[in-house]
Amino acid sequence: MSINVLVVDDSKITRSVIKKTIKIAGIDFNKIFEAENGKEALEVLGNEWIDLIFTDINMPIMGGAEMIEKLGDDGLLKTIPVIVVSTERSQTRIEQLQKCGVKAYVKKPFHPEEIKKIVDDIIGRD
Amino acid sequence: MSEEMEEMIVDAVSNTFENLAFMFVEEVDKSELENTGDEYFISKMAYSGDNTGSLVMATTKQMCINLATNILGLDDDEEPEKSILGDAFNEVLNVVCGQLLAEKYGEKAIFDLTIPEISSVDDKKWNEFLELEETIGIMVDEFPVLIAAYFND
Repeated sequence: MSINVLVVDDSKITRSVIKKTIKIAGIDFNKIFEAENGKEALEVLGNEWIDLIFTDINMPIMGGAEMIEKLGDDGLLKTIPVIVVSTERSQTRIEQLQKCGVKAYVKKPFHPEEIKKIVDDIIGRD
Repeated sequence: MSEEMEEMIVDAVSNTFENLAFMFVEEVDKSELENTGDEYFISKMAYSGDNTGSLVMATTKQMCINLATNILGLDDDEEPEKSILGDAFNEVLNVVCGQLLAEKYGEKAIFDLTIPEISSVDDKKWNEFLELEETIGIMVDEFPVLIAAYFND
């Protein structure tokens, strides 16, 4: 099954790198949507069916933590797996995000294999 | 700044350039980095939380072009879009900040980071930044980079 992916990051170059990683990692995707912050991401989620979200934490207008909190308030959106890709390394913050339902936390800079393994684990493929 | 702190900063910068863009860092005497006649960019960000402080990093436009090219894995005949040059350098500062804070304060500490802000500066501003006591000079591949970290503790 091809999946729709949403990449949320205020850095255009980071969005490009994540998109490229998804492609070269051999992840079976249908469409990759982009958003520059949590607010834009929620707009995309209101209009499109999304199967997987990659998000940064530190973004203007609405950060990743606030967006994840809002996803948790929505019966349907809270079922979408979220992978956080961030420069933050605080174990305390990672644990807080995991309690909010975040499936995985990837520290920047990352390797494509790391993303591939995490996506395979989450969507249940080898 | 202590030698230990300077080493920590250079390590964080080295790891970031190497892992993000496959570019290699060499610490040099700052006098070797006086104005090169290129256009310069300076990026700044701050952090707050368990402690406060800020980071400032500067480089040349040509460095940003090479950096974006390497991050995106572009071919030699491809040029990155102008709009992402600053974005690439901001991303380096962002990753350096995350690594440095974890290294200095441990992985239990929590910080809120500001969004890095980049601006174009002239030779005069480059030299002013170069001459500050806190500023560390490095070469990344063949490009000059200046970095200063201000820890309020």
